[in-house]
Amino acid sequence: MPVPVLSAAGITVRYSGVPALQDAGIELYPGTIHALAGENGAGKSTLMRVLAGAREPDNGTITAGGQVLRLRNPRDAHRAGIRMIQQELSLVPGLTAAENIVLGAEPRRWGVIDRRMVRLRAAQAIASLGVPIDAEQPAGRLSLAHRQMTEIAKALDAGGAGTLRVLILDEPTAILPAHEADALHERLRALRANGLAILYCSHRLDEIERLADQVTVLRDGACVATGPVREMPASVLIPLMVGRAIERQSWRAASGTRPGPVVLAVDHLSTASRARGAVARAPGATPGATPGATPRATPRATVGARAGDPEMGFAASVADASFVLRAGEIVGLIGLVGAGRSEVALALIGAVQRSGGSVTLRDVPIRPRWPRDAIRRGIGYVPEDRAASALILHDPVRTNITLAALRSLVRWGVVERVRERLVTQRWTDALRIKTRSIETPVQHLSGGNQQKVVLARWLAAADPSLSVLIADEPTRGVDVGARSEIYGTLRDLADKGTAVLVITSDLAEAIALCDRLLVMREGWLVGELAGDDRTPERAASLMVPS
Amino acid sequence: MSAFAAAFFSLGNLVNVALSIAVIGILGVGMTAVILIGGIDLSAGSGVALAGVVAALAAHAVGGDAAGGSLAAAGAAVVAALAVGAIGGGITGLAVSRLRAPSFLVTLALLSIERGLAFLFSSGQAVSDLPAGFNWLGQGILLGVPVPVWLTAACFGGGWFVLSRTVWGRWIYALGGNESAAWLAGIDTRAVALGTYVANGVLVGLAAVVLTARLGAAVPNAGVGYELDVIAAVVVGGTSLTGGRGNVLGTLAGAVCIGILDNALNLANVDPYLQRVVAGVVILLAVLGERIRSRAHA
Repeated sequence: MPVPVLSAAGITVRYSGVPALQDAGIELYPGTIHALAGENGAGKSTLMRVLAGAREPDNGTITAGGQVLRLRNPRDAHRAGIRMIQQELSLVPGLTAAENIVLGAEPRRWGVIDRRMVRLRAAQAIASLGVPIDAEQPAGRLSLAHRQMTEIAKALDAGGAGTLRVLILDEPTAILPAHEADALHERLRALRANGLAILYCSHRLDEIERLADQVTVLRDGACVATGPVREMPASVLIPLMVGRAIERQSWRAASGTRPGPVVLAVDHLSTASRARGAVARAPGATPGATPGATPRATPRATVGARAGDPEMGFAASVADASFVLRAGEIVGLIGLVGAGRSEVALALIGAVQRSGGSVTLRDVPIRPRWPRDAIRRGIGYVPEDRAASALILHDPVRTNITLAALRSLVRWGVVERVRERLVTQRWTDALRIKTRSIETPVQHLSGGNQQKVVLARWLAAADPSLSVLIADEPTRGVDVGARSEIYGTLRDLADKGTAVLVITSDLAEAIALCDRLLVMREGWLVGELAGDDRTPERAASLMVPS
Repeated sequence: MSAFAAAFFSLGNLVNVALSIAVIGILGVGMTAVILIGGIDLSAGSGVALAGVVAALAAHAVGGDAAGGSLAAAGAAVVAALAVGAIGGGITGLAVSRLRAPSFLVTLALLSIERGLAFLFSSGQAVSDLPAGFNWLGQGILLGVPVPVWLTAACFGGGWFVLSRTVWGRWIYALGGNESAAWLAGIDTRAVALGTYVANGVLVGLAAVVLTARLGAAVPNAGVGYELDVIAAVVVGGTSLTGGRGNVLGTLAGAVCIGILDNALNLANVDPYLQRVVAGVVILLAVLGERIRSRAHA
């Protein structure tokens, strides 16, 4: 029996009195990938934070090699050879990848940073990962995947000591397209072979099945099961996680109904000229000329020569997209990151100006200059990054839900508070948003419930009904239970006549949820799959450049 | 000490405290809104001086030599003050919302420009002989309470109502809380920012009216350093400098705290130089206390 490299027992953590973890424990072995499964709010993040020294437990002990460890801060954890990769990457964008890797433990000579040593250590860390990261690039210019790899390289460098024993990853693939996720998994397997203990938190059960050796399931702050992955397939894990058996595809409504009339017709849509010069249709169209706040979720194509390169994960522009959305239909927009999916959405709501093409809503040409124009015409938009672009995190559920609906809740400029509460209550009930009260700040809600708040905003704003709802990655970082409820909500909306456009990186989700799939590649809408053509193979062959 | 207590708690003294915070309080209402949208106004003190000087000059221009009794001259002075304030706010608002310039830098520039203009327009001299009707706004008593106290109360009441009950207020919180979310939710973030700065400017104008009327003269070096007292009141009142969180009731409490402190230290005959130190320490403690409290909640 091998000895665990790190073990925790009896861990209890309370946030302002509310227990987030109760008597939880886990044992991590060298050369093992240990998956952490559980719904949002089950305590996964808290357990990881405890192990990474980001939060001291109120009770419980952490031991490494028979010695009790006290992890008061991440520094303590680093010293013990434990590093965590946060879901939100935390590189300094202006520093190069190499500088980021040694950040906080810069090699010095006579008090001055030893640049040669920096390069050397960065090169070593990168080499041990085996990923071609350009160490001299500013981190902000790297693709998401490479930024993540840089973080892992930083962990491997371990402040120059190179004594990393435990690597903790919080939802590392949530931000990655499928092929990047595969690449990451390959790296993790290599690290495992080198004897590293890896704690891997994920919402994707298929991923756990493929990657992990061990799995621990958390529910309501307690560890409900732990064991080898091969003995715990998804059919075992899901009931453990949600505490009830749910059918994997319970949201799949029988969509035998014929699609309704065309609601939105998009003809040869394009956005600002592409750097490669492949498509430069609209003279005078400048990238980034968006007035007002530019949504942070949209990485700007600031690096001219690389804009639109799907491999690099930069926001592309749209070269040419034509499609229609019909009432009662859920249409999926799929493609690799950088294929221009999100840009289509941003152009449709006016957050990005289109440089060519036309859009008609119920046969009326529209050209929204900014989101407000689109909203007034009944187009709702659920952005990709709910924390950065949708929610006002420290404000209550109530004001977050009614933010786009205020016009209808106002008399003489004064918000009618009673009606506002009724509307909020109605939608929190309808979407089963789990919150202590409608006055709870949304930051205290789980990811799934936060996403429901964003959906509720558009349902509440729709007067009398939403013509089009565009949802960009609506189930990202959302647990299984809430996920199927969100699918149900989207289906209900479609059944009531809204044309729903879902952008998703989850192919299985796209195929199961959507009636039709639109496939984008490098800014071009290259194909459409309906009916039995909606297979992973067909989709993948269209998505990947040949 | 009992003599001190008697002096402090006398009705006259409490009215004194209220009067002493009138200008800071009025400025505080506008500053709260500006800070709520994530901005700052460093030009408040200079704005008070410029608006006061222009108001006094306007009174003389309309009333001529017989400015003393002219109600028209008084009206012109008030309108001029409010207009100057609104223009200052408009400039800041446009620079911030259209050009996305940092409010810190724009108002830092205005701080200098407005102060300079106040000296230029007044030739460096106090402008006195103001209309009686105008002076009443600073010195008059209505129902036993000084007029500036009424005006301050009205500003706080209005500010509270706008921020907590109206759509405009909701948009202010949304803009300060998450600008891209507000924009994507269809809020005209530029209009909200511009409107907030203009409203703040109008309040600067009103504060100038109260201060000038109380002194009976417009002085070009009036209001030096007021912006710092105002920001202190807002922050002590719990409004977050990062925007999105806070309210005017907190600012009122902050202004009252600072007013009481000044007043008490005065009554206790504390060295005026030491008073500044003590005031600073109290502000620091208030802010630290707030941080500790919010950390306990996290």
